[in-house]
Amino acid sequence: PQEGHIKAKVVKNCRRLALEFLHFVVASKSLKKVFVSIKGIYYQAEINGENVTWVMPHQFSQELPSDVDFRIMLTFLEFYVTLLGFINFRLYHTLNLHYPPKLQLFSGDDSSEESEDLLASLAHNLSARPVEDAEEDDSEAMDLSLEPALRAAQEKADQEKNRFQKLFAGCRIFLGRETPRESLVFVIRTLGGEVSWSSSQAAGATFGETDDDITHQIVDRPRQSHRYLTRYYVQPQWVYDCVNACKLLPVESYFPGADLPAHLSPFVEAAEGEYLPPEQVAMMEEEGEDVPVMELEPPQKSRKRKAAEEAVEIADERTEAKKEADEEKELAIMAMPKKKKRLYDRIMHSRQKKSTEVRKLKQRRAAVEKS
Amino acid sequence: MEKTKTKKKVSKKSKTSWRKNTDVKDVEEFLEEVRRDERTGGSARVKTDAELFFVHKKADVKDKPPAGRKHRVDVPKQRKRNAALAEEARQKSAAAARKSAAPQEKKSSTCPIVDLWATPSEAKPSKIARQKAAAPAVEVPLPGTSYNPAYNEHQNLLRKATVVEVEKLRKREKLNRFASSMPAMNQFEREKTWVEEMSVGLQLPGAEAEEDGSDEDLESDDSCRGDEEAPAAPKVVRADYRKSAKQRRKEKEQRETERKARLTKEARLRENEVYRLRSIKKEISREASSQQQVPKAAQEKNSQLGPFKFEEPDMEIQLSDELSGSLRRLKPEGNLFKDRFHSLQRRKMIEPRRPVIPHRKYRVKQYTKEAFK
Repeated sequence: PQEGHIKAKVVKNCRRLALEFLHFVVASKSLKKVFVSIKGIYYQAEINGENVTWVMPHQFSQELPSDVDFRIMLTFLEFYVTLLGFINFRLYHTLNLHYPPKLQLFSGDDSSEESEDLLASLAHNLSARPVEDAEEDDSEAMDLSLEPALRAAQEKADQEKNRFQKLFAGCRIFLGRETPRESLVFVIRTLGGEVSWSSSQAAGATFGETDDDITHQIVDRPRQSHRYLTRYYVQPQWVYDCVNACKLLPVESYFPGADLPAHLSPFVEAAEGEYLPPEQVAMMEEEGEDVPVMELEPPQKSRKRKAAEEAVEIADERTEAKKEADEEKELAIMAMPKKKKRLYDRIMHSRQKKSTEVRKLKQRRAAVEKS
Repeated sequence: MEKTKTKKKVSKKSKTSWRKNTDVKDVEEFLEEVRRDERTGGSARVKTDAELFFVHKKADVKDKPPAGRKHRVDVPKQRKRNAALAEEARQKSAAAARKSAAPQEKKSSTCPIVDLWATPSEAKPSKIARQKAAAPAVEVPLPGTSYNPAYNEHQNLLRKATVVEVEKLRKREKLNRFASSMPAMNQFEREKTWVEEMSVGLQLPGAEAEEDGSDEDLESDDSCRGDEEAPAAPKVVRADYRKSAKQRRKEKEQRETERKARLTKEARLRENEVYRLRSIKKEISREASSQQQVPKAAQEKNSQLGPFKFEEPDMEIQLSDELSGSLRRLKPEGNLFKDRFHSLQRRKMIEPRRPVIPHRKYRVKQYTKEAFK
């Protein structure tokens, strides 16, 4: 476009499409990872086998920076808006839902402002299209030609997936006014929970604060004065950490006013030999996962020290087999051709660097904990 | 009595005056109408009923499918069947085309329309896989950018940022060093070297004598220097540097012979290339194959859009005292507009540009008018 003004109807259109996509993720229960960063909230969903990552900003008013050329961005936006419209249509049809989305509450009604507001709230289910033939869903049925081991693995994976998708099932969560409502509603609803907020905030609240069946209330205040005894009061990080951990975490560490554990990134998986913060180790041990063992290579010592230590080692009892193995290894290293030796040296050097880094991090952590 | 207007008498004897003074408007209008009727089909009033209407004796409506079938979702079984049917139909049409022996435009070979949602991932065209590997649309965030990061990850992030900043600082320091290594002189010191500096390149009377012999020069130099502080003699340009006509002629002849020799050599080589045809063909094929070996992906990666290189924007970090630890007190860092804009530049969809800041090419001089002083 000629001018870089962003028109109101463009914004409205974009918001509508984004909400439709979020509705789809809610309906298909495909959200996998959430990460709250200082820039915005990152989500990752698995759609049709592909990991789709997107970022949404925090709910503040955005400023339009002056060094961004909005004419170019608007041109790209025209294309993306059309593309997303088609994608939404296709995704909705794979789930057999009406597109443009209709709510179950309004059966047959056309889009009124009320229905638009309720759609925007993400708290209500979409109405599905009537399916004519009750065809057998072959995609769900397991392929019986697989080996029993693979089949067992697939069964386990399916069970895990089902468990994850019902993470918040049975939870009735009420959101406080100071919490990021839209993000939390999206996350909780995707994983099968019921959620509501104070009706003065936005349209579409299903139950109020005084409801008796509320199991959790999300608050972000330093102190919570009025308390109901039948519900837990937690900080919003509890929800995000539960999603990333694939289970309901103990609520104690997330009480209002408590020192929250770190919000770790789910996009990072620690490989062997890397540093793991103690909190993560504790969590992994709780779950019963194998903590990757770190190979700590002893750092390069000075020659004098090495000689002294060797003398000590010779004096110690060493098994013959171990001695032989070490000697063989040394011989093999010496007999390597130059090219291979160079590669070997490089590998050893990088491993050395890694282990020194890990050591340094541990030292720093110890220093911090002491003070 | 009113004076009647007499028509101005115009002679139409010449061609030009005839053409000027005739009025063809009515003819032109009529012709316009005719052409318009040809274009649009004419006025309906003039036409007969038979020309305007015709009675549909036989209904040519196709059998509609039953009502619900339209909305049926393509299930994998159906998709496979459809794909098989489409394949059969395509083969049939291809066979028919071959039979007719008419030159058929094969549209499918140039741009195959593939149903991305239906084909399994292995059969998808590789172009998509290549583009995806280049740079993802949304970069995975560093763990230190969490609003409540773990200590070590936050330190890692700060370290990365400090590396960048230290580099910038180093460059700035380097420039400052160059500026400061030339210390400013005061007026007294400057005067000492002023005469020497200002007389560089001048011809002074003592200078010409210094040109004969180098050994003698040292003595004469000292003596001269002692008297006048004469600087070293510059190179003297004599008046007899002009070339004579003979020299010009000689140079011209030489140039001519060189040129002729070069041309004859080229002609000889060109004529002899006929005998080198086989080896030339081999060279060409070798060049062509070596060019193809450079993978297209690498070419795209190395290519730069536009004159400016893409510079990574500053990382969004929050220092330890800026970290809020609470979602309510979080102050967001960074702007998603900028992030997306830079991402488009990083993926080479837009060329990186520098903003054109208006500036003057001259320095603005300021003065006050006499009246205002």
